[in-house]
Amino acid sequence: MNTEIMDLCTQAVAAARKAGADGAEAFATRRRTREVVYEKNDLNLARADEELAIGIRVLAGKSMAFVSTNEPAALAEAARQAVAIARISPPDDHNALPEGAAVDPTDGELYDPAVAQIEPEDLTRLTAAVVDGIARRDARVAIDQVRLSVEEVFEAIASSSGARGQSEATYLSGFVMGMVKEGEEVGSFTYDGAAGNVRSAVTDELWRGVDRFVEKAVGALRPRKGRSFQGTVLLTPDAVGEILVGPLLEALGADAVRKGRSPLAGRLGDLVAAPAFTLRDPGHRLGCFGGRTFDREGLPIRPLDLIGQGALHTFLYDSYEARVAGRSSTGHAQGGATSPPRPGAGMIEVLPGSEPAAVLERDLGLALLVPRFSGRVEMATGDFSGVVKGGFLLENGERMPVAETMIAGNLYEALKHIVALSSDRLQLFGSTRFPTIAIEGIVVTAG
Amino acid sequence: MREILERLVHNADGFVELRFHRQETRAFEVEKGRVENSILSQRSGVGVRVLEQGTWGFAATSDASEKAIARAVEQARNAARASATFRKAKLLGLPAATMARGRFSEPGYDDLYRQPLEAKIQLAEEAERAARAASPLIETARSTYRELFEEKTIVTSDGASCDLRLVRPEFRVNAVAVKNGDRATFSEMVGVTGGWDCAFRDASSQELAVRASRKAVDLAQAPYAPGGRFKVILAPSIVGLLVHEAIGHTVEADFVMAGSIAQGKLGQRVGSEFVTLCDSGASEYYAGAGGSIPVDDEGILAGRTVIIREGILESYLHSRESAAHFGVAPTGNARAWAYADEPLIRMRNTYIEPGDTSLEEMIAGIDDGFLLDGPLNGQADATGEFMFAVARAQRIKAGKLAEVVRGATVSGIAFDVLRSVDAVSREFKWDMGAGYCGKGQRMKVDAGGPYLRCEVLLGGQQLG
Repeated sequence: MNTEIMDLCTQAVAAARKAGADGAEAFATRRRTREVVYEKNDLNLARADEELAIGIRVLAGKSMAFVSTNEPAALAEAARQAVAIARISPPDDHNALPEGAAVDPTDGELYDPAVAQIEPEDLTRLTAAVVDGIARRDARVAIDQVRLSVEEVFEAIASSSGARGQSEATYLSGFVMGMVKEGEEVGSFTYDGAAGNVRSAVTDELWRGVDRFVEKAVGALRPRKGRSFQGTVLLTPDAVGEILVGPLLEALGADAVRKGRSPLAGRLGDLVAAPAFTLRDPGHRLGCFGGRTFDREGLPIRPLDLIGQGALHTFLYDSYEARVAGRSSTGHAQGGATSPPRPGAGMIEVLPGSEPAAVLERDLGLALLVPRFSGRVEMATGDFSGVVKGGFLLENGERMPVAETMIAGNLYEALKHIVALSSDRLQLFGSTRFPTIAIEGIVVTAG
Repeated sequence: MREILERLVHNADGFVELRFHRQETRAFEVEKGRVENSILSQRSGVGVRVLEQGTWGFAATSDASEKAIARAVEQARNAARASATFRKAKLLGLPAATMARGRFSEPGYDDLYRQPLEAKIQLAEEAERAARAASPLIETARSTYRELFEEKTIVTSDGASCDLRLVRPEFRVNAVAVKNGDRATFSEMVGVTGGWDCAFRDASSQELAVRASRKAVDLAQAPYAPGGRFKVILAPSIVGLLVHEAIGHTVEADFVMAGSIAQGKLGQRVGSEFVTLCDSGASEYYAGAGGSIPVDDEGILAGRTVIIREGILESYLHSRESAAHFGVAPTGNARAWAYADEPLIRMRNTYIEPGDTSLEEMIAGIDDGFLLDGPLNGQADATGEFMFAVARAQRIKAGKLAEVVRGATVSGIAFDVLRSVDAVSREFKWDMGAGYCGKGQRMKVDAGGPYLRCEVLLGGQQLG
């Protein structure tokens, strides 16, 4: 375990106390990155960098402020500035630092020495292999970008109220983006990839991602005008994240509830989705980004159902929101060294249904398959509207690629109108795992 | 800092580009009467780019000492050498250009840096209070004041040697209204390069807050937009999104080389004769555009580029590398968000030039359509297909403005929409300065223009 950044956190807390803080918390990250980028049809850039950042949260009476810096030599000055800003910020009786304790460090499962040892030469070879692999699968695919990167991340937290934790992790990620070109025809952008902590698992998943990428790119070629109707849409895991889960997590934040922005306020225990829908934070073991055993305030992370069989079980609490609500934190303080904590979910999954996505697609009758959604979902109202990217009209099991097709509906109504979830799920870039989901009652407008 | 960077470049072999970059952000957010965040963030370091064996190597260090920068130069060289064998088209040199030398300072920096932080917290508090007081139907309001101070020193082995600094304040206020159970939200925002005199010259923070609340209340029981193809008038804020998302990205030379819809279309008609589209490092027409830069991050003086002249595609946006590929001069569009980011081709202030029609005449020319204002977000595809979510759409019937509707999303194929433009207004406004572009890295940009009459596909919650 890298003790340097824990020492830095301890120094920062001491510096803040010396500057007059009544309480202080420091969170530090040291990150070493290696990256290779292929774009413009050629290997374009190889890079290497390393950065240390530290964020200090201080209390002056009941006022709070946050300062971050990437200059360790400026730690004392940063602490002084944090105290000065807190002193001019209005007080809030609920402001406090959580009573913390030493939490177990990650037990090494998130740190793969085989990833840490990857250098630009290795990334370059893998990038070249991916580019070659895409061309071998289908020469019509134009690559906009292949980006492979390796990160080694050490994090630590210490506070004047007893929090103490540190973690180490390696991340290998690969991302491919592009489209099909055939003569004058240009298909819609698509992307795929893989990310994780363990080298062998990520490289295997990356090749599956390359297969999916080529299939999606080629499938979207020569789209035709679709059909306007109100009916069923089939959201792929990507679109589930964009339309359903991302905005839903915002609404589940206890801060959104307190501020009067979440339509889910006051609905604990109610059925807010179809009974087939369960949204779960699996804890840290899903195995990727944010995969530490403690949250941004140093509190332990545990598995938790947020929505179970359609019923709203809990909101996401950090320690501030928990104090306001008169309950305990759920360990959902998110953020890093450059931002103060706020409620959110690091990892999230939707539990699967019983039939494979291919069977849902075959049996739906008339429906629109939504691989990707380019639009907006307004959390406060639930209204969403946007363009379907690389979409297909499904009719009696047949797929027809469609262009310029828009969908519109309401998130909170859509959750109640889920009619099926697939048994197969996709882990997207490590931190989420979703099935394909069918929803009724969505307005589809063809261009 | 410039002396250190010049010494390092002088002693180095081959092409070396060194960029010291310091960013300081202060942000204050108030919601429902509580100061949610008081944040100060400082980030600095040196980004190093070398051209070695015909390929780029990049390294970055947060330690700005001479020794650490020298080490980063070696890391960048090693990274380039490690990957050089896989690069097919070696980059053998960069085109000559007017390299920036000297000091560049945009207005507002000193005044805003010296201004007490209390005044900034107060601004956010008062605006949030004004938004909530504007109507009993306001459920909650949020105001955020943020300012970004930037200092850079750029030195290259082929002649750039400059210091620059600028400040970009931005202010946003959002209100949520609830009327008989129906909820709606509206935001007003402003972002500039300059001081508060520039940011709040058209409306004070409290006036913006009241405006946001009133529009949220208007929308709370407005009907939803219908779907279908309509003749519309795009307000400057939506024109800004159109020219940035739907057109601008497709003419960034790196996207062009990857196969964007603009590839091979230089000299061809892509819009009606009413459309002249430009991108400029300066704030054209009036001061303060949020994407202004005097010099890009390759040390090139940032000029103005005419992308489309009277409907004909005339130029792409270039870095030094893409300019070499196309055999043209760099356009000063290489930008990096932070010291640890490599320069990418990015827009600055992108706009359509104003015409000579009045907004009233444009409205009078529509039998059944919409006036669209209030951009929420937008994205575009390599195909030129774009999507914008619009906060507020006002129906036009028989040449007159009618009811307000909500939940509209606009879509179309960028060049098809430009070809459908049949009127351009005299009024001009920069209206995207509070926004960021996210092309791998964040970036401050601005965009705007006149009112534009054209045809688009509207997506709404009712079948049209």
